[in-house]
Amino acid sequence: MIYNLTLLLNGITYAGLLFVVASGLTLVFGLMRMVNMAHGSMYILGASVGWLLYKISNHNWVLALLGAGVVMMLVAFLLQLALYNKAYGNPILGIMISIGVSWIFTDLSIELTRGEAKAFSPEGIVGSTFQLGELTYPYSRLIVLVVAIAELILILIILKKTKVGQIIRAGVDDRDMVSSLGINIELIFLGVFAFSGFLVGLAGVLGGTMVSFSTDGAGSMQMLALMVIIVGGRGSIEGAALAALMIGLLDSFTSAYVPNISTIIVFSFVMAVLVLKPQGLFVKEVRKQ
Amino acid sequence: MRKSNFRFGKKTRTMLQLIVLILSIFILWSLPKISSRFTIYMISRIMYMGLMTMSLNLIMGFGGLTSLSQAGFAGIAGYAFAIYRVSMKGSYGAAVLIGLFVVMTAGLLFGGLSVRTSSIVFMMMSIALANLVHLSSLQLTDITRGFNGIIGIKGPTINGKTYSGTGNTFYIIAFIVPISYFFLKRLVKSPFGIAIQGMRDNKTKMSSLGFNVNVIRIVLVVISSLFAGIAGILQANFFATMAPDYVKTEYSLMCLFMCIIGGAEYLEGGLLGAAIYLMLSNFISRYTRFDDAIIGGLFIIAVFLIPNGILGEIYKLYNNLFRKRKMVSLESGMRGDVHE
Repeated sequence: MIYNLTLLLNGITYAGLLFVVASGLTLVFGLMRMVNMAHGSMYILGASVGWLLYKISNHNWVLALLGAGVVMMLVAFLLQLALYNKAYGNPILGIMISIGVSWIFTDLSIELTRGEAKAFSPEGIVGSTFQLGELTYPYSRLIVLVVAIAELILILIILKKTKVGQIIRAGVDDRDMVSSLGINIELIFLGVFAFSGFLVGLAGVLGGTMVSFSTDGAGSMQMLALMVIIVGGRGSIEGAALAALMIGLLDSFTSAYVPNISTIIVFSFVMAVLVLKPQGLFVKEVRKQ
Repeated sequence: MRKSNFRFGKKTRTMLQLIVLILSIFILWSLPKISSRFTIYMISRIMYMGLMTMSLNLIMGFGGLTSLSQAGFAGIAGYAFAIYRVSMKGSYGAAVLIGLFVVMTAGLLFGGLSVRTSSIVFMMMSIALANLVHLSSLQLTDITRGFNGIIGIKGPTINGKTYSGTGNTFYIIAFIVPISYFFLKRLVKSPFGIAIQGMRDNKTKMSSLGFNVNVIRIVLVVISSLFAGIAGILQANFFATMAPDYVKTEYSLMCLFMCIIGGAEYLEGGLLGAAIYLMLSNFISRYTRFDDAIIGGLFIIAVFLIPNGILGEIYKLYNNLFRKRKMVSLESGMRGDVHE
């Protein structure tokens, strides 16, 4: 019982991490029609930058978290300004560019971490545990979940209640119409991409605290984020949250009970979604332009 | 497509191609006598990576589907081959057939499952597949032996000589790769090859002309995975080892790099791209440890400067110099469509 409860909590907190990583990707994919193949290596680069700040600031975890977010936001801003905006309306070109970028980022983060696996182990509340009945559980995993939920609420408020959110939602549905209404869509792209960089920087430090991070993890994080946006549907935040929950729980339980075939089960689930609903599970059918 | 005013007859051309094929195999076979071991090592790697990239050229340049799972398919075939050869102690021929059968089944499954998807979702599925193969090779420890990999894969024994390891496998690679190239070349000129190019350019038109686009697409994925599988078996034979490191997703991305650099629209672009990439990475990593970053930067520059690849640029130059009437437009950014 307690074993299953642990698995459940692990699955939910892991889903929180997946959501923080994938939400930026799904916004970018939804709005810019571009799959950022450098997202996984941006996650690792964010964690590495956070690690550097963590070392410099004498183990100040909050500074590392926010610092990684801000640095990755700047990186994403410059990236969009210099490269990604040239891939406007050409998804394959965007994929190519971002693959090149991901190699550069991977080498950078190898340099920052010296290629070792690192984990944040801060003191104070983040590094401590709490009792839940007989179960002892670390706060660090819970904090990831709290951040994920806070982020979900924040993004939903921005998307549903503000003017910028309206523009973004309209852009996901019909980009050309939005730009023909006289809205500077490139500026919106820049903002959304920088925000996605901020989120992935946060996710890097959160993931590095929850488990650990190493440069080899870039590919699998990229794949997990892609799976979340495949299941959740392009540009759908609620979809991404639900998909992250499903994949997180599936991954947690299958790797405990059938460790040898857990990846195959998760992958088959995603494939089944693609075959039955290629648009994603939680997206309303939008008429094709 | 290109048209020249002077053409050989069909039979003469086939004969000429066969003669060139046989000649090139013999020239390659005589190379180990005159060149160093390292050169042979590099040529072997270029050739099987080139074959893997040519399978990507087929599906991407001709079929219009960006697949990032060529190394995944190669890994499936390589693992099936290695497991049957080493764990079950089967014969070489049977192991090769099983490897090819398994990879074609995987290609059929993948192609069938992905047939309704758009090209961008296809790409995401293919990278997920590549990652699945890598993670499975680590997780399915009962059959893949996990991190240790399967070691001691023996090549075929012909006339009392066993062809395995980096030195001897060259003869097999130099035999198989030109033949595969010949078949691929015939394939893209065949009615099926024209049909896949038609599917790339205008799917709706093709289906209204009575072609079953879905079947063509599945067959294309199967054929492409078959050739990637051949490359994977050659690789397993070459290193005499099959380990998770050989099926990393990075290899699939490298294939893409080679394909773009060489020229996605030309089969030869795969070989050229493989040669450029392998020599470049070998050269750069001698001087700095930032070799991946430099290659990534070069890739970005190449994507912008030579979107048609080196061969594409050469053909464009040739056409501009000698055939005034042709012009190449960069409609999709990656693909040069020739308008007459």
